[in-house]
Amino acid sequence: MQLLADLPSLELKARYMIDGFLAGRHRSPQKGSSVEFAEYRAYQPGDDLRRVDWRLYARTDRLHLKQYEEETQLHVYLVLDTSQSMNFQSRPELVSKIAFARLALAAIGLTAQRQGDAFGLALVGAGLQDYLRARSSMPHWRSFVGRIESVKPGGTTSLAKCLEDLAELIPPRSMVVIASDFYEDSPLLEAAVRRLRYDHHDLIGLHVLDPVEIDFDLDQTGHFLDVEDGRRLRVDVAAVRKGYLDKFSAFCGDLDELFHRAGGDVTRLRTDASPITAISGYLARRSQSL
Amino acid sequence: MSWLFPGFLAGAALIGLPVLLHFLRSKPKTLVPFPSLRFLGDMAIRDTRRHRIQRWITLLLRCLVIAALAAAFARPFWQGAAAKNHQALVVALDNSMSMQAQGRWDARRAQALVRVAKLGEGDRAGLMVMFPRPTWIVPMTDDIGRVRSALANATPGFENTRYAPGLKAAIEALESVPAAERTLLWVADEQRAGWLGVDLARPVPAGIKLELGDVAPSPGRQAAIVRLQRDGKTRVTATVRLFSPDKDRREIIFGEGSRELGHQAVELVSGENTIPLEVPADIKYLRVSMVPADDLKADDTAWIVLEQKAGNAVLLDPVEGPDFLAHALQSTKKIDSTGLDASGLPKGAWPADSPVILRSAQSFMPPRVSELDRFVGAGGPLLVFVDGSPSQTAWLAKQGIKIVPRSGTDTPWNLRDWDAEHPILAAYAGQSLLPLLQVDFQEGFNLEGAQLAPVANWPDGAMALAEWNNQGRRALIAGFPMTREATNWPAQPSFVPFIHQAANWLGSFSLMRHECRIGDTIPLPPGEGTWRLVDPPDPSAPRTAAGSVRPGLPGVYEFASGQDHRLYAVNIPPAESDLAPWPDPVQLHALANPAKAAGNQAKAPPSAGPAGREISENQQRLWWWVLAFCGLALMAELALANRTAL
Repeated sequence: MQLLADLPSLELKARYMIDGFLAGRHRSPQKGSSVEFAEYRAYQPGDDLRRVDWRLYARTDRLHLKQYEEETQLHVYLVLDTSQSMNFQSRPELVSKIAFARLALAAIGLTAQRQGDAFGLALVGAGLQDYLRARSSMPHWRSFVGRIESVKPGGTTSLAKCLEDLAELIPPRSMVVIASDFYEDSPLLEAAVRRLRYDHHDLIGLHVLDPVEIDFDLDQTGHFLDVEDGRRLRVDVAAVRKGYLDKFSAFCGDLDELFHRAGGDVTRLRTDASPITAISGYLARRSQSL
Repeated sequence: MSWLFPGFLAGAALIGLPVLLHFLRSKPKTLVPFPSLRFLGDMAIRDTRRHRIQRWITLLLRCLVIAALAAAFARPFWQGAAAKNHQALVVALDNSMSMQAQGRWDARRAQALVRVAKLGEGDRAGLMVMFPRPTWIVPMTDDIGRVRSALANATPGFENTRYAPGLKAAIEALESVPAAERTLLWVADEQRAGWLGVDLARPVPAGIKLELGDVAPSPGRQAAIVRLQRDGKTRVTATVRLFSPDKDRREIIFGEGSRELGHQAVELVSGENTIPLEVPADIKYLRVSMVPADDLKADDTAWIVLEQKAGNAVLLDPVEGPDFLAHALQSTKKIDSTGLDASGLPKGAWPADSPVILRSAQSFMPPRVSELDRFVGAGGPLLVFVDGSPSQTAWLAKQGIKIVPRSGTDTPWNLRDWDAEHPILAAYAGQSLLPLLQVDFQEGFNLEGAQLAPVANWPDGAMALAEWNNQGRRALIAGFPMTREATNWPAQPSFVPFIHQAANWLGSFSLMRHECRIGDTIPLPPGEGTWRLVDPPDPSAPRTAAGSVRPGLPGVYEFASGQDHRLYAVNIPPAESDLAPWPDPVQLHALANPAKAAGNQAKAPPSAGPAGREISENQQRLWWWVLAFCGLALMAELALANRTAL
């Protein structure tokens, strides 16, 4: 993770992670006949050699694959929670939750792009802040990376409302990957998830958490400041730790149950661990979708 | 708002404690940013604005609890709230003899009854007679009918008039009663002698209205027998004072009991008239009357006891140097006819009915001590000045009296805690005891003994002068030597009256054959006896008396104890016969000062005295409410404190 963190840009980080993860492991799941040429893309190990444009290879001495817009193409929408709570970083050696989520979503986006899936972006905070329609081209990837990298966290989240807004925009049967800490009212969130499920979207929840949120292993006693609404609480950590862990555990359980009822999955990501888990979850879900 | 015990309010200073603790409590300074506080919830304490307000409210409640406790202990009450719209009336009744003057009593009482009849429901009234001492006939009450009835049945007595004590007592009583309007109804004849000693320039306190009646006019015809004096075995001189300016013809009738001994016509001139009366030598007492009666009949008759009694000598033991006591005793003859003779101790037996005063050590050594023992054994009256000599100390110790020499550098000592009720202080009755308190002593002895009753004490409370209950006889032990080295008392003006009265009391021969006045306390011979009015005849049965009596009617009384029968003539105080009113009615009305009193009443609520304050507080019981509020505040504090703890 430290190596990843040291890389200068999100694009590089995503490429580094994906290159290492996918090298030689997967064949493209793309199947079926092409309908309409879309673009060329560079050959990636694992691509089907039958789709290599040999004529172009003869002219340029480089391997390229022809991309087609297919009716069965998967649309992946990557949703990033940009609220202030996602800006939390308990220790300097760790990355913030939003940085971690950016990387995870960028990696998923890159994976989708390489696999020919169209991927879009939704930045959510108090409202739907930015929306990028699903494409699978390389320029779209760069635009995706640029937007996700430039987002500034802040304010509160209305995740449920944003998801409902997003449901109006995205085509049915898409895959929606939500990177958030899901600090949202459960009934609202459940309604939004049900709405997405109604349109037959596949849901993947990336529950991004700082280790402190999971373990509550602080040794400080003092005023706790809610980074979103500015509320303060005088907290004796030792006194409230058990209660916190119980409540947090119940919250996570409820969230898992919520996604399961909607046919989705939740992957819990700690910012002190590798975001690869997120890609694994994505790929596993994708293979089920296709 | 007033307070019964305002000292407890100082307890409110404890408010500083919670305030101090509030500001000194540990406050976490670290601020921990956290993504969401939703999982901390009730387990933690919110440091929100609301929470901070709650903490301030908690502090306020704590302060209020302490303040309320202090207030409850201080017993609050609203001054005068209980009787907001009511009035209090004290009827001060002059029941002195002068009120017997023709028409006075009925007129003044009728005025008072009219005034009392104006009282309404909720008003309070009390009836006080002023003489011989201020006494409540009906204490302050809501029962106005009872006051009216007592007033209608009241009768004047034979007492001397002195308004100062009655005025003071009535004002104090009114001050102690909570009421919107407080009135002192002054039912008196404003006799001049009665107002003597009253500071007329000082009006009654604000908030009290003094209602004076009409000043009685000077009588048209008034004379009084002010003194009877024996001048020889068969002659009595009557002194008659005519108070009216014009000459008056009267007839003087004198006799004993029902037996008339003579009468003579006299022409009285204004002022004193002396009338010699020839009487038989064998009569025991003489009654002298004047006819026809004038405006005040009560002082037209006087009595004198004429029976012989053993000499009134006081026996003194010899001392070296000047004998101050002998000089003092001899000088009592200049005071009045009850003067005493000082003589030395006889060589033989000491007569048991003469007081003996002992000062020297030789009196307690043989051979004199045997006579002393015999004298004391016979119940002889004795006064001992303690000099601390071994013989005296040993003799006193044998009688159960211990003397302890005083020491210390705080000399001179003075005597204090005088028993003002003791008969030997009769000479100071109604006067200041200050002269007795100013006597300096350089030497002294503390007296101890179960048979001793203190008359005066040293500054540290030890007994200095005591009555020794010697088998019913009278004896005094003075814990100091009577020498100029030991005390400056012989040079003080208070010395002669004290010695005179002490010797009189010891010998029980005071006021016996001579003038005794209404209001005087008459010391009786030792032992219990019967006391009855001989002249005028009293159909009621004799009553048992001992110690002293204070007759309220003029006449001749007899005290009988065994074989001892003694007569006492009790006459009207001569000053009471002067019916002239206070010469300047304006001065009396200035005392009432109605304008100022009314103004002050409007400005400031009347303040109650200690008793009234306690009554008001007791009626209102505000402290219960304050305590209840304290309990509620405490519960609220507990509830808030639980939320704001940590």
